[in-house]
Amino acid sequence: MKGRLSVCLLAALTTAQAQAGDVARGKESSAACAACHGPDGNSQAPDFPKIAGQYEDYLYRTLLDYKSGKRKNAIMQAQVANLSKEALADLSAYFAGLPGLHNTKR
Amino acid sequence: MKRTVQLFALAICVGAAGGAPAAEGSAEAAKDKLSMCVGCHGITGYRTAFPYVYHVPKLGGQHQAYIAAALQAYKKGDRSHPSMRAIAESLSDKDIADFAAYYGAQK
Repeated sequence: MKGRLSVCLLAALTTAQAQAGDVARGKESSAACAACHGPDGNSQAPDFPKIAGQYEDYLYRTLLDYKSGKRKNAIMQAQVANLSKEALADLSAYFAGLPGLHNTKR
Repeated sequence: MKRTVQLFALAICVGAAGGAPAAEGSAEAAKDKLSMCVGCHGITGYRTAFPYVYHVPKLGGQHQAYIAAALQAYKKGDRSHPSMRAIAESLSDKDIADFAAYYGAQK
């Protein structure tokens, strides 16, 4: 009983942490993103949104939606098609930590 | 003749000021309409609860053209967030341009 409980707790903890991305891993895999979103996530072209400093969970949700097709964009869907959820979480964590977008007072 | 030229010049100025295409938004004009945005986008750390729980995205510093495109996409139904769609459907092209100009200017 105690053994089973420990296993369950361990599974729960690791599952929860899988959603929190790793910034270092995200940085390693971010080269492909720079082509459109800029080397530091602050794109210069208005077609491609700035992503630096955006909320991590918003970025993650957006990438998941591109992957599932819930949000339609041919370019982004192609970009994330071969990325795992963990990779998307890592990228989200990385870009969220960069300076850029900010909240507005109004 | 001089009066005609003066009137003509005045007409051009007025035309330039008031006849700008709707794509040229006015950040000043947006300030009167911001109340519909502020409730979510003006509160740091605010999270939407439906359909998923996540932070409402930061708009400050985003490209003006991208914000306009996003609002147009919500208006057309190309993007699916229910609250954003409801809000965008109530906006005119001028409103969208104004909001884009406002948030795009928030450096």
